Amino acid sequence: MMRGVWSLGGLVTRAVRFAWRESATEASDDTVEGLRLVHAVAGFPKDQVDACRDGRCGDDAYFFASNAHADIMGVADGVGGWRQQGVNPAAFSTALLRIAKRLAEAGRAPPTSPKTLLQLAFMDVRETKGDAFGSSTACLVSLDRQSAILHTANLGDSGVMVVRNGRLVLRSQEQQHQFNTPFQLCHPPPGFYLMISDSPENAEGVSMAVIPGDVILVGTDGVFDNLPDSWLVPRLSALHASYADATAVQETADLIARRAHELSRDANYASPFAVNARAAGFINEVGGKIDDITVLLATVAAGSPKENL
Amino acid sequence: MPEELKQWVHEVTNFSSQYANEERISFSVNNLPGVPNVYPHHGESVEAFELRSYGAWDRQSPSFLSSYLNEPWASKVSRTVTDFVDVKLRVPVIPSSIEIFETYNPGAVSAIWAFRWANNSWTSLWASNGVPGDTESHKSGTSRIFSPQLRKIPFKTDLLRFEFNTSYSPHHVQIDAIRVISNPGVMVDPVVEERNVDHTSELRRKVAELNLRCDPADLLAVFSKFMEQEYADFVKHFQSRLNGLEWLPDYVIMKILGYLDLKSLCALSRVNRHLYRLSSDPLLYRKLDMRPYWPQLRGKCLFKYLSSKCSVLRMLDLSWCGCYGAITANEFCKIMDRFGHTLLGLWLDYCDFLTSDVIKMLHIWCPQLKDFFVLFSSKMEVDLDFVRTELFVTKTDREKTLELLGKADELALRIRKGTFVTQHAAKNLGESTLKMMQCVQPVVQACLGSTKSDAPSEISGDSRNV
Repeated sequence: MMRGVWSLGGLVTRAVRFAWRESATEASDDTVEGLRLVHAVAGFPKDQVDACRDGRCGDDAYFFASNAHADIMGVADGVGGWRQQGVNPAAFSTALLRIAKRLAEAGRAPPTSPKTLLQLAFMDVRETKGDAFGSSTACLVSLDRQSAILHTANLGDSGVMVVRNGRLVLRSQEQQHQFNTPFQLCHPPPGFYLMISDSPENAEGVSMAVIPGDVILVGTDGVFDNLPDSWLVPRLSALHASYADATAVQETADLIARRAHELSRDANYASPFAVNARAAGFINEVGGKIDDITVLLATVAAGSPKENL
Repeated sequence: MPEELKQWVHEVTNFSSQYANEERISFSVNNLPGVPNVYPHHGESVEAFELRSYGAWDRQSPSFLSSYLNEPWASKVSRTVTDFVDVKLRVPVIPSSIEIFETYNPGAVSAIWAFRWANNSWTSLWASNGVPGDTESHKSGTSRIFSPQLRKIPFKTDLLRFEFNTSYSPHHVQIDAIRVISNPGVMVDPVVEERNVDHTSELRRKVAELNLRCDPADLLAVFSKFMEQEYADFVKHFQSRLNGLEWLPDYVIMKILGYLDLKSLCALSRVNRHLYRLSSDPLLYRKLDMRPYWPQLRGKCLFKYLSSKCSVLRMLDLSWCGCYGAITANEFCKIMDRFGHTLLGLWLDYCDFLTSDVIKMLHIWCPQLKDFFVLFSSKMEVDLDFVRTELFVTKTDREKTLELLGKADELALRIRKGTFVTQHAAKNLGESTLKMMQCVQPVVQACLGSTKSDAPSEISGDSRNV
């Protein structure tokens, strides 16, 4: 019986995948008109030895990708605990998103499902020979250009928020096993067992319609643990007036990253992280949380992605 | 003077192997089109196209299924080409040069073919002289742009086939990108000199095909010794008889003919009536390996050829043949209908004409079929509902074969799982030989219809219930 169910499931998923692949190949050459993302990245690595570039920011990783049907972006936060085991925590997160970017650009996942993209990338990175070991949280968003629907997939304590006309319309929830132990994808080096490892299936997905002018913030926990929503929402709303202006988007991203960075070093600041820690029983926790900070900021604008160039 | 047109390969239409299954992008053939990602770096990268096999370990391993086609010459020559990839260009051109960006273990490219849609034929643009590998590049450990001297062709093409010989590579072979350069200003003379083959290199190639593991200098010494001392006797001996071979009894000649490839047999049949009669004996054509002749093979010719000679065909290898309409499904059905009833073994790797319906009919046409080998790639435009399948059914009893052939879908699912596992366990290449072999085992088991599989669990976990 089990086998029958499995085969049937296999057939259905294949059918879905092929149906999608066919439609993708049909329209691969002409980019669908509709909405696009005007995006910017800013961030500060924890140790400040290297700037945020080439898809990497300390142990964090990020990417933007665009294909005929969707604009996709995401962050992944490499779990720093691996450093004590002699594993570079950035290796896994950067490898994961690098592959996600290539899969996205090749149009291998449907624009409606960043979760599928995450699954494919995770399986790919696990089957790749190499030293991309470690753990990572991940948060991916995909703007389906034609239907104007934003799809998200969030695993762990990175997050996404969408602000429209000064109102917070979407805020992802943190997924934690216990305090400061987020859900995470794990690819352990040989010899490590019983690691915390969650499946990409567990990623929380939300789909919502977006309109031009919406502001989307995707950030790692370095952002959301230091900046309360009450501070972020007004800054994002301020962008509404000049949402199609890439420079303005970049400036706001820089502002958010800088502010998060400042506060993370402030020992007396009652950061959201400290507040949550106290609620969880860690009563001595106070001040900002020193962490890698990666801010992906994007506004929804009309037109094809070629205008971004 | 118009500028020369440089274009990157636009898409891959067919390929023989990649170090990934169809859902992966790392090492897959998807990395081949477009600009290079890795060059000028050298080394194994997930962003280049990697061929699945290399060296000789798979052939030396205990689980290797050796070919039943014991045509020593033909098999040896054809099997030195291990892989191919077909690429399409956006604009049809007459290529003036081709740049292959080899970023890991360069030197595996062995031939380049151009396809002509007008008559469904392949024309050779370049072929290596058979000297195995390019040892200098291997040692230096650097990437390179390989740009061989191309033959001129009198037509525009947008479909190229690259053949690889990975059997001398010390590790996997990676190709980063391919660029085709053409000069629109140069009109190619329609009458291109066909016979500009360099005879010395041809001879070198022939010698290399023999795969003799000896120093060329030694070979030369042996040859000159033969010429000095024995050749005169040899010639005298033959001249004393009018027809060189005919003093031998027929069964000895037949024995000798058994070692010849199809091309030689064909040439021999034109010598005289006696040899024609002997070289047309159906017993010589029980095991037929058509793969070396894939560029020329047409469905109609094949049918004629088989009709004239192959009344007791046992083994047939049509791998690589019939792509892009050279053999249609109809023609293949006709051939199977006529010759299938005696077939014991059938090889159909990367044959375009295969459809699920054709496969399902095989057990009717070939009631005695025992071994059925077929490999597909996901790029093939066949209406199979399974892709990237590697199917080895061997030495099963007849009922099992029928059962499996009748349930191609279900089988495909199982095999897919098998290839999955193979990919997964190949991670540690230090022990790759051993691990790969362990993993092929469940594939074979799955083929045999065993429900119990001790395959390592798949990543997504959905194979555990099988």
